[in-house]
Amino acid sequence: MGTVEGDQLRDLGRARLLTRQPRGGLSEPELRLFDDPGDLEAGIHPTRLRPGHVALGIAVLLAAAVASLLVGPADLPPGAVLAQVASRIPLLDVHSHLSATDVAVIWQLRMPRIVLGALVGAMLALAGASYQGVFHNPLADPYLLGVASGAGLGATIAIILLPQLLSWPVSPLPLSAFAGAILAVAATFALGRSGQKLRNASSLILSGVAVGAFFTAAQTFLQQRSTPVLQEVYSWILGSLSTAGWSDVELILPYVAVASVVLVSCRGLLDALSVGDDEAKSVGVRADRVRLIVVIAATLGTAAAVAVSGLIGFVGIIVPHTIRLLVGPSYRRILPLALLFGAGFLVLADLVARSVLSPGEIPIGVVTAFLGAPFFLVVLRQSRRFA
Amino acid sequence: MRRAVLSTICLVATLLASASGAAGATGATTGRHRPAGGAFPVTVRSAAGSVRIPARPTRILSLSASATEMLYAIGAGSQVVGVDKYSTWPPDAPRTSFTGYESSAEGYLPLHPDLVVLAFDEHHLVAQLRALHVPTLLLPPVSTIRAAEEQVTELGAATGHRVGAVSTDSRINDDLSSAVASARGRGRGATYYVEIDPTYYSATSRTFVGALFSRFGMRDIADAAAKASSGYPQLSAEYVLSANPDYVFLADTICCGVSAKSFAARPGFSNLAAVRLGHVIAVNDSVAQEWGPHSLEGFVTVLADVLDGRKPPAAR
Amino acid sequence: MLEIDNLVVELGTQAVLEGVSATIERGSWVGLVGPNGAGKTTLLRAVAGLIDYRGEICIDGCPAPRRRPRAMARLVAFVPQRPLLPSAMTVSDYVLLGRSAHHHVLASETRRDRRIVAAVLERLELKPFARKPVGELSGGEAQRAVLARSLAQEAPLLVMDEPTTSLDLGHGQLVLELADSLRREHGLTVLAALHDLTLASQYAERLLVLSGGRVALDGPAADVLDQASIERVFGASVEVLAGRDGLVVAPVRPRRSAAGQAGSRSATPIASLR
Repeated sequence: MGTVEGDQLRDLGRARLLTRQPRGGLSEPELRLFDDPGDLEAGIHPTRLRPGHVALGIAVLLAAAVASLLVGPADLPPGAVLAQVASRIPLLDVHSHLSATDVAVIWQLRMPRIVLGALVGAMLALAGASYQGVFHNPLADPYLLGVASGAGLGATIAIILLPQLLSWPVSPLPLSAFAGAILAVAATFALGRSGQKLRNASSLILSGVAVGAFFTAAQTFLQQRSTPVLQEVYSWILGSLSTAGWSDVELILPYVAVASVVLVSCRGLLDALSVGDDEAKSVGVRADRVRLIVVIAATLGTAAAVAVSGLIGFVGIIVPHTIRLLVGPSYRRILPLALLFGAGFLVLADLVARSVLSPGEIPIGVVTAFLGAPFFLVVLRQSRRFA
Repeated sequence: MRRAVLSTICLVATLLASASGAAGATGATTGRHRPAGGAFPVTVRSAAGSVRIPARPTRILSLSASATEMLYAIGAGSQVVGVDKYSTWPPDAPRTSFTGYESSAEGYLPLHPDLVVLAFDEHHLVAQLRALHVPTLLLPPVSTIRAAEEQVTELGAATGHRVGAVSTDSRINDDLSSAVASARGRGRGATYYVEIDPTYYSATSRTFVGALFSRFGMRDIADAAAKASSGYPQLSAEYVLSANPDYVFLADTICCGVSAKSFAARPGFSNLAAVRLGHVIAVNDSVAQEWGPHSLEGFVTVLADVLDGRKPPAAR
Repeated sequence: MLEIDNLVVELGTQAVLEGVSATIERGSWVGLVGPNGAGKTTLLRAVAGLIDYRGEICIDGCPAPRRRPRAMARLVAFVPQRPLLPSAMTVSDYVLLGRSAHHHVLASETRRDRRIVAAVLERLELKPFARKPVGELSGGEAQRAVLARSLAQEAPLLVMDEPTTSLDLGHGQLVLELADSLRREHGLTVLAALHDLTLASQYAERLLVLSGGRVALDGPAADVLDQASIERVFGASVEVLAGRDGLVVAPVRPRRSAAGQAGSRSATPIASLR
């Protein structure tokens, strides 16, 4: 602690005295405590996203994608597969000598599945991390506010009421699931608003639980009345990335892209929320508005992902937590890395799911749990040791 | 760092854009039904829309037990290279380990099928096979005998065995008629309960097995309970007791180990007319799951024997 | 620079503040004192724009932009009584939060922001802790971090709610000295709620005494703090002495009423304790 004189000596800036006249709207800070702080910047190290981490995430994703591309029951020679992919790059002049069917395997089956897995994995991990930031709840996952039950009900309704799904030009199943998910979250919001604003994060969570339970009950009721579709509904619920052609990818790409951009942009604001709504407001961050925007974006993206891939669990909670244990609690790091590693993780999980018991398959939700849980435990133990 | 991320995104976007250019339309083209017997190409109707079959298929993969029965019945057995693991008839059909519930149609490619028949479209298999330019017929479970006959007809057109299909269809009808005749009207007006699951799931007369019962003039106790469009309502023990059916058919012997004895041992069930008269018959589960000609013939024979008081052959 | 005119705050149906008016000059230190439940925290939160109120609050011009938190954050820096410290966040990041209202909403901090944070950390002797998680700081260090975050806002009005509550005397003095020296160097205006009347009289030029949601007394410490007023407002029995830098308010045990003892002193009834 210094004396007044010592403080004056240490102060490197000149204070700018304020005028006596009151001013109206301000655009400049009124008080310049440190007009010319000079070169003091060294030594404070605000938390930033490290390029090394990003590069690692991209590398993992690419490795998983390439491995996924090369592995499959059709037994295509790896060199030919890579040549086929290379032949699509505009300026290269490479030809693979694969049959039309094999080319279709690569571009109509494997590629869209990989891209879909990357999009869904990225979205689920990003949404889960965002919810954890907004609700300060380590158990928050992307299905928190009823997305899962809403989508399940929508899917069940489509399967039951629209039996000739395949003869439709555009399958109504993902649209119905999407609509159901949005409806459920809207209901959660409507019920969770206590009076005027969304003051209480926990009231939202509770209303999400209630809405989720209701929609699940409705879904179960419909299913039981129509038992032949039970199998179909349950296999949808278990989650699957199987897809044919690019229609599913095209369907969800806009939602996932927009949601991702919005959420990653808000990552600094999520850090500000960790001091609570009041203190955040006192430094100029509107917690309720941030919460609203984050929930809307995350819900749209999650609903789209769930609509085409069913309910794939674990990605949205384990990937963010693992990243947090490895790089720290700042969302400026967690959100972008969740996007990348979520994508890589799910593509990898899908590869394991369809190749370990080939030609049979393990449901992808099982694989994400099998892969995710032990890895998370290892990371948890490691970080405890250094804590 | 931001620039690195941006350029990565651009690269991925470029790859994606060029890839989706490869997503050409592979939907089936519709043509006219060629009336000439066995001529190809032919357009066939299935639950997945119209399918164009360019040439007589010689490598058929059947992923439906009922479709397998139909294929062999119409004489296309020599064209079949693979059947799913649940196809039990004929016993010497080339069984594979496929279930029809695979998530990727790639797995079927090593067999080089030129026609695939499915009963369910799990994991977008029909769309996947279309993307691989493999003609695929979706023949889902039927609820009437006529619909089963139509499926036989479509398979006949698709495999170049129209004549065989016609004769199979008429044989189905003959079998039915002769079975009904041999029951000598004993079934008319008799009530029955067919159990699909020990928790009292049953089948109404609006299902395939129910349609068979209806040919004998029998009445299903589950009909009154099914207000839903689903043909498989869940009844209750009380309901079964109060309806007191004349005949009970247990189709949950294999999945759930139910036997005539264990049925009679249920509380209060020893008073059922069917139990006292020995009219509780255990049959193979497939009776309620399959609609092919072989299982149809098998079941109506059993039914005729039961109604006529003859001892039915042991459940297979 | 701060004008409060007829402030009324209601929580539910109960009025917590009624008709509070005060004017605070730029560069002065006004201490807010009063018994528990008098409404000190509520008043400070209203000034900081964190709760709804009726009446007028003008901060450097009227009206205060209370609907725009970013504008408010550049005018008023609020140091809460019980700050929520995110235990895993580093001190640098925590103090950087104070700059949220200065850079674009979605953008990350600018170079100037980082320099300000560095300067503040240096000034509050927190530089060695810059990369340490906030949860590992001692009580005094944490309080300095909270003060650092508020100073990083560069707001001309500093509002503090009992900043010395969880600190020992030494650390409490440190924080108050720091605020005072900044006030005198940079013209900062300070409005601080203090429970210790001695400290209040040493640092504040003027005291606002709140009681039951209203202003009971308003004026320099020497005028406001006397034995009778303190007994009336606080229900406490004290002796007011003259100290080196202000008054010393020393608690004394209430004299029990003896037979025949006339006078104002009597045993404090339990019921009047709040």
